[in-house]
Amino acid sequence: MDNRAQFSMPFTTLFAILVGAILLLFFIGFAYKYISFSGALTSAETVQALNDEFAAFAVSDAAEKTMDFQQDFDFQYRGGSIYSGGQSQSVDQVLFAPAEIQGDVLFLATRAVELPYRVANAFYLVDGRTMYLFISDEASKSAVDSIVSSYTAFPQTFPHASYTLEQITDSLALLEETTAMYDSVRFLFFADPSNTLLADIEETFSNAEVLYVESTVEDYTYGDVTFPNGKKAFYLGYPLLLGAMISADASGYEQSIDTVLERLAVVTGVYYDKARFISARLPACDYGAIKGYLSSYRSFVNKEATYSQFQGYVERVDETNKDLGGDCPVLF
Amino acid sequence: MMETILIAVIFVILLVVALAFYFKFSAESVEQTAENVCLVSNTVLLASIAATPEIACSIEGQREPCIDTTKLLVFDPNRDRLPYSTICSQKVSFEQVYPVPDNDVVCTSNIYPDCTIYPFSEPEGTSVEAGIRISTPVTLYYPLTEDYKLGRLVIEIFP
Repeated sequence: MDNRAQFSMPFTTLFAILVGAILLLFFIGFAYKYISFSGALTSAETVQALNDEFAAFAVSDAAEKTMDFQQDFDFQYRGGSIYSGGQSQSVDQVLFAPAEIQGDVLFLATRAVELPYRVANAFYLVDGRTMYLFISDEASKSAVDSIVSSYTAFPQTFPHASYTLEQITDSLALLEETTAMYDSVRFLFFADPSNTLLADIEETFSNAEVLYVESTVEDYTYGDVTFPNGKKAFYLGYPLLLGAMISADASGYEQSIDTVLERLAVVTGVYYDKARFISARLPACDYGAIKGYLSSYRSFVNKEATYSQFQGYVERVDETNKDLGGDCPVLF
Repeated sequence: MMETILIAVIFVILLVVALAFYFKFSAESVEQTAENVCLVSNTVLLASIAATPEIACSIEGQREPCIDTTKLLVFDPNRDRLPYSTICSQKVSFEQVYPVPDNDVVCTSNIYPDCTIYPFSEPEGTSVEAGIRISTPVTLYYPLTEDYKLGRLVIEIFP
């Protein structure tokens, strides 16, 4: 009897400890799962809400908005998707953003992309941690002034300033002090900087990136951008130039350019089909020329082309459309 | 020994019942959240779809707050995906409201402009009945005659 009792007591204790441990592990696991699920749900809602903001904002040709989240957020943007808290949401719109977006305030802006008709809205999303510095020379000053000051150009809520080559050469140290509050400084050169200046920038700023904008067009509406890693990509109009300035790198920018070109092909197809439909209904009107241009424009749209080729198509289609009118309605 | 096992079994049963209730209410809460997000997204869609370049008016280079009915005829959103997505499916159509039509006639290229309903997009497998129907007034533009008519953009949401 004593032996059985001696055996039974430790067994009961062991059993109770085992059951207790299993239950404890279960509750701990459950708590972790719940926290993870709750976070995922909140992230999914936040990212979907952001997507809705884009959709609502797309109504406007040019608009800016500051979104105060009242709490810290941490988004990543890559491959056309926004990631937050392990959740991802592909963005339907043409979005240009840095790879990491952190803080508690977001700056959102949009501009209509017209080539020559409206194709899409480009969206720009930043967290205000990067300062954008426009550097111009005599030849590019007027273009930079219009990019910086025009309502439809660079978003006024994004931190930025513009200087001439001479100004920046003389005051790099002062500039470093005034931009010290930013995590990074992006130099946007609309001029050829000397090697000495580039070396001075590298020496003075620990967080500087340099982009070069080149164009044979006087007002810089079409051109090429060279990214910090040396990769070059074209831009078509100021809205896409702004996109290149905001994007983390060439691959992020080209991802959005792919979306723009996809939309351009679709919208051009719509105008081509509209031209065919109207010309069938109004045989007295000559839509042959614009149909031909729209057809070749739609076939031409591709990323390997040059900005000059795009410019040629845009101008031809625009001029041919303007030749219509009166009894023969314009297409756009 | 037996008492301990019995208590453990009863406790586990109670725990399972409690968890079942918890998950039931939790699932309902998630479904409710999903429905709210779906409704908000479609309300946003209602406001933004009319501004889509594929169907919006553009007259002499200027964007106008109207829907180009010839674009509605030639654009197929099922072929060329619209740049908006929601977490639920929906059917989108445009209807002429004024002048008040005698009959509801679905538009095709052959009978345009003597028609009143422009089907725009429809989800695959519409056997499920639409849960919520939301709409907003729009202006329909007819480029051939340069006429404007009052219309309605209708979204039927399939939860």
